[in-house]
Amino acid sequence: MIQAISALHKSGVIGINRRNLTLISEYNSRRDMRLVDDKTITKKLAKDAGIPTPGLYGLVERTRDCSKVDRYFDSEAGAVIKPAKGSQGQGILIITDKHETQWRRGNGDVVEANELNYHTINVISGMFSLGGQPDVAMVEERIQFNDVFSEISFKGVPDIRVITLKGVPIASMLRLPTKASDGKANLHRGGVGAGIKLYSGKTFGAMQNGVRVTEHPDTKKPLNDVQVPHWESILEMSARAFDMTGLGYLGVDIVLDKERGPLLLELNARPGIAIQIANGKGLQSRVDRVTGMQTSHLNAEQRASLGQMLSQDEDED
Amino acid sequence: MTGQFQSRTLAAMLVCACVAIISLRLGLAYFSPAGDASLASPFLLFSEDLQTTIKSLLTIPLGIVALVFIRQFIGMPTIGTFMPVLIGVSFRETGLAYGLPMFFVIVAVGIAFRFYFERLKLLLVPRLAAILVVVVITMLVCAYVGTLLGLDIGNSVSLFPIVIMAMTIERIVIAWEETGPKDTITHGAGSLFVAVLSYLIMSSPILSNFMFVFPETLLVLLALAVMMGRYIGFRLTEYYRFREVGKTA
Repeated sequence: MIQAISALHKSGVIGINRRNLTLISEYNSRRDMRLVDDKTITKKLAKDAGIPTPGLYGLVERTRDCSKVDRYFDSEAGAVIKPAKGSQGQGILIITDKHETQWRRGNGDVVEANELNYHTINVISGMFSLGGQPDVAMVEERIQFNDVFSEISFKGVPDIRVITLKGVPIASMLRLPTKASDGKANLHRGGVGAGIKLYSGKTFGAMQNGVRVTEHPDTKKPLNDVQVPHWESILEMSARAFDMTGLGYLGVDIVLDKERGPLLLELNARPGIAIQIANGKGLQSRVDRVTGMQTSHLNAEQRASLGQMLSQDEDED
Repeated sequence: MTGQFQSRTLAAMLVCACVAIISLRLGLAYFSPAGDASLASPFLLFSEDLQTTIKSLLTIPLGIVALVFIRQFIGMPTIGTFMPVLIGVSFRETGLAYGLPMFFVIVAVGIAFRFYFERLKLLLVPRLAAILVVVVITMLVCAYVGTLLGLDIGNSVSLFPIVIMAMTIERIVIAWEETGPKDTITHGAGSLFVAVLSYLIMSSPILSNFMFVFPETLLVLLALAVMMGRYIGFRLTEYYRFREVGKTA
C-alpha cells in the first residue's frame, strides 16, 4: 500500500486536481474554450486554417427539420449524427447504411427511421450538451478508416489523441473500439488505449480498463509496434490546433481516412488524464520541460519536431 | 503561485478571525459579571420558527464542505455535483429509515417510466415534467401505503427535492445508455454514500448546536473551502486508477 503510494508520487502522474489547476486554468482561457466546446466553430476555424476535417453534410437546427435528417446524406454512404456541444462522445449516432426501411448502426444494431428523427430532436433539445443548453445536430461524413487499424479494432472508428502543451505535442495514444465499448473509442467504456511513441509514431504497449494488455481483446491481434501512417502530418496538425485556438493545453482528436489521410475530428480543452495509463508513464516531466522552454518563436512544424525530440531524449535515458 | 499565496493568506486570516471572536466571547463570559450573555447564540432574538430554520441553514455548509472533501481528496464519483447533498438535506426531513427506501422506490419507478417514455418519443422538457409528475405520485403512494401499514411517516413527503429527483432519473438513464451500466452504478452508489454521509453530519445535534452558538465557525468552513480549492495532490481513487503506471515507474 505504502509502496503503491510512493510509486505513484515518483511516476510523475498528473492527477485530476493538478490537471485542473496547473494545466487547464493556467493555459486555457474560458473565452478560447468556447471555440472548441462548439464543434461547428472548431470546424470553421479548421477550414480557415486549411486543416482537413470530415465533410459536413449539414446542420439541423430546428425541430421541424429533424424528421428530414435522412435527406442530408446518402443512404449508401451513411453518416454520423452528433451534438455540436456534446462531450465525451455522448450522443454520437453512427449510421452505416439503409437496409430496406431500417437503418443500420455502427455497432451492428438496426434502428427504425423514426429513431433517427427522435435522436436528432434529443440532440437539439440539449440532452447531451453541457448544462442542457439548446444544441445543433451535425450531420457528418462517415470516415472510411485506414486499413492498418482494422485488425485491432472492433467495429466503430479508432482515433488518435495527441496532447499538446503550448502547441508542442507531449503525449499521444491510439484509441481502439472493442466489443465491450460498444464500438466507441472511449476508454471509459472499455476501449483500448495504446501509447504511441512521439518520435516514431509506433505503438508500444496498451491498456484496457486500467490494466496492461498486449493484444486486442476481440481480434487477438498484437497491439505493439503498429506504425501509425502519416505520423509527421498528424503531429504537425496537432501543433497547428494551438495556433488555431490559442489553447495551451489541448487534446487533439484525429482520424485516419483511407483516402484523405489524417482529418481533425475534434478538439478538447479539458483532455483527460487516462493517456498516462495508455503510455504507462506520467506527464509531469514532459510538462515541466515544455513549460520551461521559450516556444513562442517556433512555428507548428518546429514545435512538432520539438515534441518528437523530447520523446526521443527520454526514451534513450 | 500568487493564487496559492493569496489563498493561504485568506484562509489564515479567516481562521484567526474565527478564533479571535470565539476567544473574545469566552473571555467576556469568564471575566465580566453579566458576560454569560456573550456565550448565548446571537440568533435567540429571532422567533423559534426562524431559529429552527437557521439551525438547519447553518449545517448545510458543513455538508457541502464534506462533499468537497470527498470530491477533492477521495475522488468518489457522484451524479451531479451538489445533488447528493440535496438528497442528504431531504433525508433530514424524512430520517434515513424512511428516506432511503423511499429514495430507492422513487428512483426505480422513475427509471421504469423513463424507459417507457423513451418509447413514446417525448421532447426533453415535457419528458422531464412527466417524470416529475411520476415522482410526486410515487411519493404520495409511498406515504399513503406507509400510513396504512401504521408506520409513523412523519414529514417524509414534505421536502423531498422532486425537481432534483426528476433530473437525476433523467441523468441516470442517459448515463446508462451512453457510458454503460458499470459507470452508472458506481456513480449512483457514490452519490448515495455522499448523501448519507452529509445527512449524518447535517443531522448531528452536537454540530448543529455548536454552529448555532458559534456561527463564526462558518469562517473556518470558508477557509477550508478555499484551501481545498488549491489542493493539487492525488485523489485517493487515483492511486487505484493509476496503479499500473506506478508499477512501471
